Amino acid sequence: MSELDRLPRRGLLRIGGTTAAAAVLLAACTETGDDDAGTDERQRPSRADREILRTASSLDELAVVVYETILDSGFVTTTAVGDTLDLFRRHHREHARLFAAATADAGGEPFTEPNPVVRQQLQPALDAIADEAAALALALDIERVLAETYQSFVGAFTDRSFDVATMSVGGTEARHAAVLAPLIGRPSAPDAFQPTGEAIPSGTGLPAA
Amino acid sequence: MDEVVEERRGLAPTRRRFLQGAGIAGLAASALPMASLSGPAFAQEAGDAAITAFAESIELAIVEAYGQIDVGLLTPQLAATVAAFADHHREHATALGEAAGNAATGEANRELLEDLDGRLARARDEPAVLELAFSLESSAAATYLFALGALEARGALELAASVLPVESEHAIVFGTALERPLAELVPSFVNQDAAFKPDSFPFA
Repeated sequence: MSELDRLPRRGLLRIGGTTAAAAVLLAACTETGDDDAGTDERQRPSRADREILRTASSLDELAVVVYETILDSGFVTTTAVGDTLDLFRRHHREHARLFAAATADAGGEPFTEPNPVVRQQLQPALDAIADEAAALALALDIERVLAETYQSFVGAFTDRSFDVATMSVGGTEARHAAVLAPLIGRPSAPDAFQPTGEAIPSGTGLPAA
Repeated sequence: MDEVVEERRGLAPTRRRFLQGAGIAGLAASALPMASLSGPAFAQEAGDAAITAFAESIELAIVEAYGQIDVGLLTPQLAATVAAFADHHREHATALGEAAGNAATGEANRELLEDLDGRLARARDEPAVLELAFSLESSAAATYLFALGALEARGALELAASVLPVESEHAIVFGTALERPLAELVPSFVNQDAAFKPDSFPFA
């Protein structure tokens, strides 16, 4: 059973048969009682929102491919490491589903393929994996890039509710990185503030709209 | 589909709840010049200032709590980790205080420290210290996700988004030292369940 499937029934009832994206948003946000019925008008999702969400789903789809390649390489020989990578692969699949569903909610066409441009850039590193440490280093790199990328998207959405959904994923990518880093002798929490220098710009690798 | 859109709009009440405990009413009278006390721009600036000031108070409370830990109970490596993370929280507090402007108090959240008193007193061995630190960091990370649903100005959002991952990393370090199961340490999605909230921990 995935985390998407374990959401509170109350939340699911409130949204009826709608998408995983809405369900995760409900779980990520606090409860909203009747006394809170608001009148604030939020902006409707924009084309830029849809582009960000499509970029995000393409990157998590790529992370799934990276983990599958690593796990299938035969270079991961430590059972606990293999279990860790398998768990993270499943998380990325759920993240990709979330972003794809959010894209549909925002009126866009979900992008469900691994990001082609970033994949091309990563391919030499994937091909060069020759041992468990190299595999972990690549996994760490992609987790840090994803964490920085999702952080960089915050504040850029027209529909601000996507900020919470994006960082509910970005926080998990940071946790992945913090687990992987010490396995190859790197610090789990190197900085007081996460930078965004390695973030991938929205729209990278997507076909022109 | 309309229902989905309306549910997503439900983030607005989160801002109201956050502000109810964050002293926004008093802030309006004292923190900003009269010329700016109207319109959506004021509401945005004042609300964000109250939220970042609350976060500042939480960060300073964590710094103070870490200062009360008997590091002699810890291995040298973990003692160094606690010190390093306390420095991170101090830096967060400084940045949040600057973002909060006149709303910043520069004071640790007293309600949170009182809440922690008993737990600090009981932290008489390494596992107990780690449990406390893990709990604090997990709640801090959740607090920033909560804040992201309430903040409006881009700068404040970006600041919260740059801190959340770091608190998450801290939690992983302490949780790993506690040998917590990986699936518990790293859920598929971060949530707000353990967030510190202003109505539970009001600040001056």
